Amino acid sequence: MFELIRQNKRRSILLAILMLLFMLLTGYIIGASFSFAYYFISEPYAFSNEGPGVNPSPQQTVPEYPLNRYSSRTYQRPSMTYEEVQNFIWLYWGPLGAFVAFVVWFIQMLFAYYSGGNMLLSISKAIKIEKVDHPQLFNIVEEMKIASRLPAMPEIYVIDDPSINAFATGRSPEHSAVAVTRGLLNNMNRDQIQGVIAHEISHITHRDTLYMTILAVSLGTIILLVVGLREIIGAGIRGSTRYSGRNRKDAGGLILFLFVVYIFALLLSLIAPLIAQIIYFACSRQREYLADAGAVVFTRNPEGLASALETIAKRYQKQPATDVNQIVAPLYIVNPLETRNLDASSIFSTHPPLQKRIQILRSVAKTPSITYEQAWQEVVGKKWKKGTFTPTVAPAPSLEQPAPTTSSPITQPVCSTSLLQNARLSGDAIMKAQKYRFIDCSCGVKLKIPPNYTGRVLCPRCKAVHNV
Amino acid sequence: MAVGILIAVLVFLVLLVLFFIGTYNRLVRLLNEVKNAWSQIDVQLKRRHDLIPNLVETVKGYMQHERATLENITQARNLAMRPGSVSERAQAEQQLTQALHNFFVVVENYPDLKANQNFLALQEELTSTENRISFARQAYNDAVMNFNNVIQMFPTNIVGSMFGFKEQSFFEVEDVAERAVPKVSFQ
Repeated sequence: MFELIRQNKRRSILLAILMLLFMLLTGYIIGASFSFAYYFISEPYAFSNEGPGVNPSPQQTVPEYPLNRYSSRTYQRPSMTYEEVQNFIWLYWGPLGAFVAFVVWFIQMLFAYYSGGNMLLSISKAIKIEKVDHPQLFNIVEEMKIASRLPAMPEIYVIDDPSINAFATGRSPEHSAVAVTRGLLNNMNRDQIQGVIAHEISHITHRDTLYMTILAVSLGTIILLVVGLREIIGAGIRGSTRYSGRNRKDAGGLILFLFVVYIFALLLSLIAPLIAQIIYFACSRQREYLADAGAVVFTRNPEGLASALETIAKRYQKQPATDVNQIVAPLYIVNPLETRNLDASSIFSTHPPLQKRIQILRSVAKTPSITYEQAWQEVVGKKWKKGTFTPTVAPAPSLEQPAPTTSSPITQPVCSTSLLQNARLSGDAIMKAQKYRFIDCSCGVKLKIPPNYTGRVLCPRCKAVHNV
Repeated sequence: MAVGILIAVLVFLVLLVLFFIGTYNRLVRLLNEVKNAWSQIDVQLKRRHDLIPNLVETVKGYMQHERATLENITQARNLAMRPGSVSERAQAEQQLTQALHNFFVVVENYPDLKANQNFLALQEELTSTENRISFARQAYNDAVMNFNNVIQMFPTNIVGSMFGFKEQSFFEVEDVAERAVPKVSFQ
């Protein structure tokens, strides 16, 4: 799974650079468009051979007025040629727009870097807790801090909300926080909470919060720029139509060119937020798989997180999620906004489908010899290296409410075609026919008890005691 | 032309020196992480030792019939706290772990005890401590792996051997029985 983490890190850096470049491109185009609008509004005669300063007829004197009250220089109509104006726009206004975009991005980034985490926590009404308030949660976080070798203990927050969710925030491993909802604490056992916390802590160690902040700020900047762009396009079009009638003869080519730019800019203003969101959500989905892999590395217990996700999935089928902003949604362990979408993923999903995440974790739990990345390959369906052995994949967990059926296990459809899985299922069916009893331990081990055995059974993995 | 070659050589040398400095510092950092991870294990073991008198005090009244179990725990704890060689102490800690496991199995028979808030809090602390010890060992192994990777991989292994960095050894489970895959058997 370390290889998977490395590979994904490279890919996410690439995506982040792509996002930044895209933002700069948007800024560039806005700069260029703005210059057109500027020329049309402030200098309606810039592209024409008429107007003041061009062919001053004897009756029409050149208006001469000072540039400002301190200047003795007088207004001179810029005498630029068609090509000069174009060059000026592409080489001066475009880069200026990109630069402005960068400055806007940078200021927002500074703000988000230093206070974004606190803002998120206060928006979600998270309350900071100490050890006395919830010793178990505190212990679990500290255990995960030890396992992940975090340099500092994250602050712990509880959100007083019945929904089941959690998120991590903070600009660096030294300044981090995890927040969990009251519903999560009430509905999950220790192992499950540990899985969730491990997932959040690995977001922190992967610096996902910083990474997603960069992306979110880029996305926000692009949206801001695009709103500005629309205004400018509107102004530019109003300006150009006002004067185009008069100048059509002389500057028709230029005006046509301007309209092409405007249409391009208009299209961009529609598409840019869309593309930016797609990049943003793609990053988010990747980071989720990575955080799951990290949770397995830290807890060495995939079943904890798997059953936690299952609990969340089942819960959300009954109860809709609370109100959460779409942009902060990727920070949560499951997206509070799209939990109904459990088995399918779209390009606008912030999280991979829960079913797939559970399936991968279960595969790792069932077969100790396979790694997270092998299971990931098998479930997601992307090959990553030739010749690796095919892992046994757990069947996709059925998150639907179990239908009341009396059919025997043999006739039930087998989700996975893998041999071992089939063997296990048919073996269970035979044991069931011989009146064996099955006990599901909370740690995920299935104990198979002979028909006439009574007494206590010790779970071989977690040492829990079951009474038969 | 000659100047160009000279500049190229200079740039190469500067890059080489930077690589050496970077790798050396990285190795030092990783080695310190290994050491820190190792001391974390001791911190958690100490935590366990501190908890045990508390535990014994709390449960004594409830568990008159389990004298032996409690004595085992106290004995193992005292043994583990005595200064000794690493392997001796490791063995004592192993015994203590075993004694605590036995204790938690026996506790199931005492519903009164399981209703005691004080005991529940202690149980949570002990569970957490057991987890912390194993997580600290695991973290130590992860740190060792990170360090050894750099030491063994090309080209950083050159820097590693130049400055005499040695491979670190993993924390291994001494008990063969503990490593074996658990099996449930019924009469």
